Amino acid sequence: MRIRTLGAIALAASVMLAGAAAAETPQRGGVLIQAYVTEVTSMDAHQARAGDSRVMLGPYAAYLVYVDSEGNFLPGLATGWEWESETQLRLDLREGVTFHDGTPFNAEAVAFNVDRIAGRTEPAIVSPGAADMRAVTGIEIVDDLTIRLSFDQVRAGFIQQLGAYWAGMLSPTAIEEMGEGFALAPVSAGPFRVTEYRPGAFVTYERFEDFYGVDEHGEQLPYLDGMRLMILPDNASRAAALQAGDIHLDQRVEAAQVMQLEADPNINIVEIPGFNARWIAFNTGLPPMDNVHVRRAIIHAINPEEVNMALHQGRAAAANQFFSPTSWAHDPDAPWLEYSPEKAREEMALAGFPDGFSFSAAHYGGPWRAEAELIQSQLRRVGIDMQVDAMDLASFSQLYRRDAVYHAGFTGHPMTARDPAHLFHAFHHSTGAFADPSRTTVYDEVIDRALLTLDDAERGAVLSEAFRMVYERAGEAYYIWVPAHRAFRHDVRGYALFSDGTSDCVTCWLAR
Amino acid sequence: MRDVAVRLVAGPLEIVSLIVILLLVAAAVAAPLLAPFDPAAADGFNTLRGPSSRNLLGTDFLGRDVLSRLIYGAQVTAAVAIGSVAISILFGVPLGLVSGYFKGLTDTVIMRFIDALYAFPPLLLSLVLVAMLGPSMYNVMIAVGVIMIPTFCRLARAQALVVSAQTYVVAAQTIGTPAHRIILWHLWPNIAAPVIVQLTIGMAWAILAEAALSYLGVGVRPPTPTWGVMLAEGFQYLRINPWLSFIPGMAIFLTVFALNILGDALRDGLDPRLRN
Amino acid sequence: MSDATGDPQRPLVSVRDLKVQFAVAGGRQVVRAVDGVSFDIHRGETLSLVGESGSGKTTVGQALLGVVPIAEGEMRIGDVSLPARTAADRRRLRRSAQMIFQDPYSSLNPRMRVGDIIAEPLRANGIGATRGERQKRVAELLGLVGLPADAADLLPHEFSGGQRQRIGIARAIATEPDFIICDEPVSALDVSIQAQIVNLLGGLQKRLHLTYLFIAHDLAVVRYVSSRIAVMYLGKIVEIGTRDEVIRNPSHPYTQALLAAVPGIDPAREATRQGVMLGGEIPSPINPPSGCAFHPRCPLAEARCSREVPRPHRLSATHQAACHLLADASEPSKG
Repeated sequence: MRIRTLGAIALAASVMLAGAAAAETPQRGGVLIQAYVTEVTSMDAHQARAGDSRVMLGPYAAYLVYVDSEGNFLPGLATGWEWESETQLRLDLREGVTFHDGTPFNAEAVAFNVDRIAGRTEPAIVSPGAADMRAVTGIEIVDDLTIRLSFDQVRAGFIQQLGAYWAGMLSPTAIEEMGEGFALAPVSAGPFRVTEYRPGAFVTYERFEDFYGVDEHGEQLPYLDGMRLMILPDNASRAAALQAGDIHLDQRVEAAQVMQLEADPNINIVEIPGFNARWIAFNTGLPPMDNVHVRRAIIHAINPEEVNMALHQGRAAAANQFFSPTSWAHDPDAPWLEYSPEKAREEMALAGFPDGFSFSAAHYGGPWRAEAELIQSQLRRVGIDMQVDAMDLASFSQLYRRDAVYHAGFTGHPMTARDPAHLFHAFHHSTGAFADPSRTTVYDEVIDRALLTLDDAERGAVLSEAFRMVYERAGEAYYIWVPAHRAFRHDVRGYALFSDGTSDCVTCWLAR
Repeated sequence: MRDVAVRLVAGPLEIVSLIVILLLVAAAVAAPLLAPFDPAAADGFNTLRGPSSRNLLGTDFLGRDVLSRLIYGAQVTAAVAIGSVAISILFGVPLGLVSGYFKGLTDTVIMRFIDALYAFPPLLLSLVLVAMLGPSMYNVMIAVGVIMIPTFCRLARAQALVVSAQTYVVAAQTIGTPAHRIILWHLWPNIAAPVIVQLTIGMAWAILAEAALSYLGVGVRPPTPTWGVMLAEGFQYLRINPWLSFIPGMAIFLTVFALNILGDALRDGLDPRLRN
Repeated sequence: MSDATGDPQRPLVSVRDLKVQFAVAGGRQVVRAVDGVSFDIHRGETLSLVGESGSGKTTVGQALLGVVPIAEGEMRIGDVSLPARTAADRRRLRRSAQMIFQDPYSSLNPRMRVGDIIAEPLRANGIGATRGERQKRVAELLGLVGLPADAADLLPHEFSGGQRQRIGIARAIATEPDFIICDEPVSALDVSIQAQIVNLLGGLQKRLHLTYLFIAHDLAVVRYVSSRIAVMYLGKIVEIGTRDEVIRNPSHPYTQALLAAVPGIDPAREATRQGVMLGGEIPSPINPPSGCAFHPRCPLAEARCSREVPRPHRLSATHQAACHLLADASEPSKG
């Protein structure tokens, strides 16, 4: 039984979150201040490398297609799309749209963006969407507002990919004129323009007067004059700033702060259950992590319930596969390696390390800091020594993913309505953006098959096959599914979430 | 030395300070004997508990015994304080002595280098150093020690300039005592007192720097407990369980305070003008 | 005064036309601290170098010991020409020439035991291979200067000024030098102590066959210790002669002025003395007066004194003075 919703709370863009607020007439003006825990790897949407980059990209970047929590496609810069054949897609583009710099948005701009993400422009960039866009083998500009994409083979789920965070349509003239400076002052066609970006500190946005979007009454969006997004890595500081009224919106509330904020009558909290999967990715090419018994021993030694109780006040759930029950791709019958110190010791003996072994792990802060420390203590109880290094996201990408110098990396992913096969692809296919650093090809065949299967039920079955392979290889250590929390002050109205759990505040307004 | 000892126990504040430092040293040396639990052993089902007969100072967010962590944390605190000051004295004082004794080009070259080092914001520099070297206790010692080199170097140089103008240094030169022996026999013993006073201040500074680095998450590698790490972790639960950050914060405060008091007492005790 | 080469009475110390200059004000100006000084000191005698502070007398001593670099001139102590060029020469020089300092407080390292202070020249010059040998020598030296042997274990601050100066003297004679520069060794001491130290220096001179260059700022002490006296003013020797010549027949107005400041010398010359009371301060050696450097303070100055530099005039075989007023009375010396 696959559930195809994100839960009642995560709604599509432009749908009001709080029912009571729906009756109110939006007020224009004001600057909304929000805070987030970490910063994007690049403000150039094509080169951003983490799903949560949407928090910073969403306000300025415009997408061809948006995906709601039901998995439905909503028109963005594309007003229509049609598979003319199994390998040919026609997109009808919105008329009269300009980028923030005045460059007209048209079929040529789309072609440029597809080529750039694919790494086919000069200078070539590296985008997490490269594999998806390289599948486009032919681009035909039918007319100014119509474009036809041809594919090498059937590409199920390509439309969803057009709504991925990296697929923003960026101004070709701005990219050409600004070169590397583009990432500091990016230009797209979203509801807000970036007016100032201080890496590591903040981004300020200002309303884009010529934004194409309107609300259900035909009123021009957005309502806000502007926004400011501050990078506040310290969870307690963010919560304190929210309570003090220094910020309106905290885009990431950790479990330790949920209780504190729940008690504050001026604060609303949105919970998205089972939204984030947290797990340890293994670098299966680096001994001793190449030994399946070593990996099984680690998984058996982790007690997810202890992590849940200690760090999530029991709000989370023990994880046993890549997708939580929130995703339709979740397989209730998937087998897993349960917590069992006895079995962990058996596997250690099988691995040839009856007295324990040592391995290195990396994480990039945030919730992983505490979880890694607790799991480190759990592993120590059976004699496994995990050396943990904390670093920033850029170092993590470099050291864990590219240089592959760590045995393991703490990672995670959100249960977006993005096509599950693509999400699975990103983390498991040898060409995936977040693949096992050893670049194993064991899952390539089954993933390619899933991507070629158009029927949802059939694709689910193929994915279940892939889950079983992960189980048999003990390829990664899932430990917990945690709810995501956003918190905002009562004067914030019109708060809405995308299917990927982020909000671009296009419909937000401040009550006075 | 008798004068120094007398000064150190001159008042109640000095006696309390001495006790605080002795307790710290005792905790650091005898941590495995004193601590009731393994400081890294988590118990996820027994977190954020208040003081009890089992856990005298309660448990932290991972269910670890706060008292045990405090005692083991003293080890790192003492090691970093002593280690980093030792590094900065080992490099800073000889450089300053050589610079102040030879003057001229030697002085210019050394002080150019020291000024360059001094131009960096100290905490930023140690952050960069730890980031480059990787998180470990020894690297924290190095990072904190390096940024204190200019302080000791400048102090030693200023004192060496004064002392090398003394007639007994000229006398040594006319006698034919080689430069390295003049520095060792005449300069060093006569600048040792201010260096020792600076040493206590340097230790206090090193403890704060270690706490700051740990607070920023680039200090000692977990699960090794340090007071800075405890402070940072406790801060997350400030509203719910304030004692989690209060206890290590108090420990840091008392130690730094005691070192400053003792530094003042040492300065008075080592100053011949204040001797009777 | 020609060099006494081949003379069996060859002087132990010989200084010819010594010039020492210091750069000041960041190198833009030059101080001529010593400006063409020549003298000889014979074995066993005491030459006193007298002058106010700023006259350059101490610098002459420092130049002899190699502490300050010389700009011009030739110097020799024993067989060693200065500055010593080889390491062996430097070693010989350090053993054969030593210095006693003015301030018995700042010249002794307050954190070093007296035994170590006296042993420092022995260690520095590699005399006395073992600690025991050095201790024995230290005890001997303490005896020579009239201090008890157990003084070796004490620190300088446990001694009086006079005792400290004895320690300084013990340090100076430790290497058995031939030649000692005494840089105002008693001027920092009480008058009652001064005589003791002067007597000690005299006794040691006889016993150890020492030769002294005795630097002083007035003539009060030097009249007891000197064989010969040289008077310096602003980097130059203005008068040089035997003790009796200089004290009884001071020929330069500056010497006369210095003598006038000393009570109880030769009341017969009382009348002359009244005319040469010294006023004002010694001028800056950065920008010395033209002609005779003493002319702005000289009560007898004439017009040519401010224009021409006076040459030394020979008054006897051993007595010279540089003053225009003497030109009429005697012939200028050659050389």
